[in-house]
Amino acid sequence: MKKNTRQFIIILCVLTVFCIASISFSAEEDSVLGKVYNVIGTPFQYVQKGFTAVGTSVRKAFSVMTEYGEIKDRIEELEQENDRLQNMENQFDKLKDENETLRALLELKGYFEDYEMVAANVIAQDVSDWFNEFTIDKGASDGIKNGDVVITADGLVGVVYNCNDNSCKVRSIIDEQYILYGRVSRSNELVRLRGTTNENYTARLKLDRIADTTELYIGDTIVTAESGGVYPTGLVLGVVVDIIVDENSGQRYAYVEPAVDFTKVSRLFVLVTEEEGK
Amino acid sequence: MMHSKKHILIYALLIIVLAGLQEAFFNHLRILGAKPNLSLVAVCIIAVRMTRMEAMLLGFISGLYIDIVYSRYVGLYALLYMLICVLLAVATREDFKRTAWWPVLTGAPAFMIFTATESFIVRLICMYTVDSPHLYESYGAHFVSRILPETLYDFIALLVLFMPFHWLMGKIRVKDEQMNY
Repeated sequence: MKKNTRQFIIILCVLTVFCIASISFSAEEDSVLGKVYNVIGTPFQYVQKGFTAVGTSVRKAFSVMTEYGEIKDRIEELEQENDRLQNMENQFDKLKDENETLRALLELKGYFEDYEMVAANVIAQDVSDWFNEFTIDKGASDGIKNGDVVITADGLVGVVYNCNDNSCKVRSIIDEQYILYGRVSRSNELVRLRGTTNENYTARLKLDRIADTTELYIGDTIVTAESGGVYPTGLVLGVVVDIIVDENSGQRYAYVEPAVDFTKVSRLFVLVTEEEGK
Repeated sequence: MMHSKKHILIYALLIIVLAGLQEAFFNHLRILGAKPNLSLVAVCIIAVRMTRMEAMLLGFISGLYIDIVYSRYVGLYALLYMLICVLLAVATREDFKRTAWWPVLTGAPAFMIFTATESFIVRLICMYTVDSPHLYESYGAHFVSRILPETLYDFIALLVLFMPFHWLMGKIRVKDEQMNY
């Protein structure tokens, strides 16, 4: 065997063993290796923020160009008066949207009296589709810590699991590795849910271990159950869209359409207990 | 194959531009539910032009970056990227490294192997970390709904991106050769 080939194989083996060991160690919650990578990763998060900012600017620039063309066409087609009315209507829509957002926020704020709501933006999504997680632009310096709950006005999004000073990662509830307990809001019966999106692109929650006595119908709303303080109770998780009976075992399982549209999540809120929040 | 400073600069630019494009458009531009992994495409485009040692280091470093910034298990993408880069570099003979058809031809199976392996490892981790009862509920459905669209999308991205890259590298090579002459 040539010297170069031998050297190549040795380095390949060393790096492979390093990667496998690193996967095993970083899989543990609060592992030392995980913390080391967090420190190393902090400058990279800024690089990533830069990529996101550049990407967003480019996207905005493109959308502005498209809108500019549309507006120009309209100006050619419409009288000045119609144009002014159009502008007024646009302004009205903008104010209406803003009003609706503020209303939803006000309702949420009243609902979560024990929590400080920290508004955050998604700055990086998982480069692949396998882990259903994303990075937000707020971190420990804003009072956020691992285990804090992340929501939108529509319902539960997920939980913070890897918190740096200025950013943190959020594991969404549609992740296959996420299990949580909920209640059927109609009957208050306890059920277990897990993400199923790893199997296919339909982001849903799978409701399994349904007791024989549990009455479950399509259209039932599922909300969070008591979880020893992990989640506030009564947060909307989604609506039952399909109930299936396993032909062999006779066991029922069901699919729940999440209340949150995970493809469009960009602005969200982290629930931080009041004394921790800044 | 020797890499001049110009080559290395273009490799770096390719990675930066594709990372920006991924954030700007492709995270939002899904077809059949899939989005392309432009970082993988960029790394593969470069890896086919490299020696196996260079490709190994390129794959490892870029995978480690992905792991640190995005991934839950640090080392997962470092391993996958490294192996796919080595596979591509080993599969590309020296006299094929400058052709246009060979990298494109090897792209499709490479992406499929990558996605299938990624899927397998993630599902395996799932089985160990939570009480996931089986590796796949239906591998056929999983293959059609996840592996195939991702592979296709990555392959399309490779087809679109490789030609201008290949053309540019050819121009630089001719210029370098003229200067040396």
